[in-house]
Amino acid sequence: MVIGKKNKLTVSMSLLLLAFTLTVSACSSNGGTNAGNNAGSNAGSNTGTTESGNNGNAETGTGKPLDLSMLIISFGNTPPEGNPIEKKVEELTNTEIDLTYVPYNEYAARQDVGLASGDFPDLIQVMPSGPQLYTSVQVKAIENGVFHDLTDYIKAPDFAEKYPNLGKIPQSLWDKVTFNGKIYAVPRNLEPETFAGTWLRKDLMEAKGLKTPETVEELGDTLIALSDPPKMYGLDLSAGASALESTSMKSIVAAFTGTGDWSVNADGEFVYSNFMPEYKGYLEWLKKLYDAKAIHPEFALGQKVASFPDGTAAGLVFRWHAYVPAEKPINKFADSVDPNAKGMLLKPLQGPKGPAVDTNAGFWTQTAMNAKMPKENIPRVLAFLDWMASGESLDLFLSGIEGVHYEEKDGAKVMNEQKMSEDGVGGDPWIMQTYRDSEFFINDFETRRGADPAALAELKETVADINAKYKEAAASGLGMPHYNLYAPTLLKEWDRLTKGLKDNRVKVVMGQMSMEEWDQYVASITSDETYKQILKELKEQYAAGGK
Amino acid sequence: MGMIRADRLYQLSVAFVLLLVGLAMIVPFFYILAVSFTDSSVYEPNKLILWPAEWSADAYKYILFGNGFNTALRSSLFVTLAGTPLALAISATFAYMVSKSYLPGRTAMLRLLVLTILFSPGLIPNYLVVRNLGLLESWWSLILPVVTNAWTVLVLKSFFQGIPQELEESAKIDGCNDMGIFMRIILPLSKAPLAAFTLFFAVAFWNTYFNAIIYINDSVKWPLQVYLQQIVLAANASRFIDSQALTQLQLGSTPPEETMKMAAVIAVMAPIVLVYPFLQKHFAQGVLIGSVKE
Repeated sequence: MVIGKKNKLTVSMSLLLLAFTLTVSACSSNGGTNAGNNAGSNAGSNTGTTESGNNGNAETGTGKPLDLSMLIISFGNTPPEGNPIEKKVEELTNTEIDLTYVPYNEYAARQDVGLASGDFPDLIQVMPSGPQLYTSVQVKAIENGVFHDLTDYIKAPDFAEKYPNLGKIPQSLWDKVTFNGKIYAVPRNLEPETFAGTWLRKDLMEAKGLKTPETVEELGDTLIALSDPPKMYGLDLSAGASALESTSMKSIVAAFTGTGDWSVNADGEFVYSNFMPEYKGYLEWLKKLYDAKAIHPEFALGQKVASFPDGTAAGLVFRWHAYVPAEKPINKFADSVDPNAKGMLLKPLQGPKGPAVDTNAGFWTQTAMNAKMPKENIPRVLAFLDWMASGESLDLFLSGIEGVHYEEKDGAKVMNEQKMSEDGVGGDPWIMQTYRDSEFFINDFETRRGADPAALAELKETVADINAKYKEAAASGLGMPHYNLYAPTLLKEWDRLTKGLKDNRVKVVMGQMSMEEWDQYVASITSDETYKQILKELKEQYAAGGK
Repeated sequence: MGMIRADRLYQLSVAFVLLLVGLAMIVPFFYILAVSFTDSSVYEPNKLILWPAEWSADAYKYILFGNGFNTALRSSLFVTLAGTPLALAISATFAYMVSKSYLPGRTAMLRLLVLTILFSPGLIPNYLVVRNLGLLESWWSLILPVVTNAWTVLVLKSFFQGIPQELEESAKIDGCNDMGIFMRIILPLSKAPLAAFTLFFAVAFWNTYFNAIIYINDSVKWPLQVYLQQIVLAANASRFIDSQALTQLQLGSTPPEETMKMAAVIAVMAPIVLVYPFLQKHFAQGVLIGSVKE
């Protein structure tokens, strides 16, 4: 090949330019090293040489205030900086807080950037996504050592004594957050491990004189009886195609399969719920509703065409506290809905393989500590988290400061709404660390939300029933045995493997795919080498004690 | 006679179809405007509302007088007003430089430029570069990384190449230096593409959202789009996620999400829509640039 003179010049210039840019980026300073080097070396070198270690005692209290920066998910309405609540918290816990809010929609991207670059505040809210406890980015970050290992602190025998509020977190949750035998974060946004409930429009039930359904079959028939298209549909699936796999709808799935997403048999063999033959019972149930027009024909678009709070759907499977009538309910009907509209919570329905209850981790996000933070601070941070888990802290965030945001009159609190909205008071604490089991939510209705006493009594009964049924179901296969096992193929390949699953589910419900075709589809996945590899990994990890 | 009637029929039917198409474009805006002014108690989702059943400016009040609107507006204005002239200056000068065929290393530069169209390093390397340049927490992190791009430079380059050489040569004869040629001859002749790109850059800077979230942690410095997203999110929160474990304890009353979302859309669109008519005449001409090779 003859290279002309001009071309030679071009090629050599390009090569020189390339070499230049490569050299510059390679030599570009110590700031640009990868997370591994950074976190690793810092974690090592910082333990000795820190000044914030000179606190008076291991917990909060005397000594220099602890500098804490945090990355938090925001759901809108972030309180202004330096507001009175922030100052009060700093005072009470001897800390200096620096908050960074990131809107929920972008949180995953921001978190991943932080974890991959090693650049994130002292405390980070680790948000889950995908089938297991940690995403692959998070697993990588853990392997790179960006988080402090908290196992020794948490498993210490005096943990519950030193940190009484954190000590309330049950062992089952700590087990679920254990990864490869270690605990890297404190569970946060705690909630009952079973939280789904089926709601029906009480007023419509009474108007039509319908009997309260007790089985999933009866629920189907009731929903069909309640629907009156196009004004009213039976079941609210307004989230669209993904509604069929929502945490709440999984309670109905559990009624058919008796399991959570993954289940393991006596031989240690795992299977995914959707691929079990029993799962077809769920699809058939939905199909029956769809054919009888109890489900909006275009539900899959997610356009909120039939929505329970908007008064266009008569039934909804959601959280069991969602529509409890109260002065300050969790959710309420839109203003344009009949003022007589009331929700009724059903006792857990019986299905062919068990009750319709869901199973959750019991926590949503976690608080992890940046390994760059000096190790001495860990006890102080745990103490801070313990304070955030206390009733005192919850009261402060929800009601504000006495005399400023509310006045105590005759034992009741009179809130100053204006000041509250100015200072951003009344939302969740930055770290929702309070241990919230079903009792907590019920009490919340009693004390803070002004629930109707009759409704409250009914709620207590129903929830007791739900919890009892959950215990029964958990003893016979309902659970999350896959959750914290280390299965890299699952994390990497699951989305690709189950690419068509969501759509095919909808197709079966809408009658565009026959059950035989669904069987073929399921067979194509279960015979796939990747799926078999996933099962193998899960089985090995589970047998090894997984945790 | 038949010819004239046929001709008129043709005109009328074309006009009719165009009218329909035009309406199809305009009606959604009316819908948004109408819903934004609708009182929350009469708002019904999924109904076509072209005139509010009950007028209410609650949604606007909530947005405009909410906490943080002013600071957010200030951020957006800074980024847009500082960013756009800078972007134009850098793009135009680079393009002019590269339009000169006798520039040594020109081909290499163009190749590198085209490389950026083909490959993008992704979010994390971008973040690392911005961090290493010390731009985090500053409005400049929203401006500098996006201050120019390959498409802009290439389009301007071909436009500059279309300007006759003779003009520059005669200016040189009259004693003009390169800078003078650029400022006095090239730029005035490039009003069309420059106006078009002013609009493109201004809209892009005004819409800054994602970069602000990634590079800036201090909420005081967040631009308007982030502020508005917060509002729309807050309205959405209660029926939010039936995914793993999210329970939001909500207090206070806010207008239902649809009216607020619409008000947010209008609030964000308004400044750009108001500026458009003034650049309209340049814009139409500028968009054709690069489409026809002379």
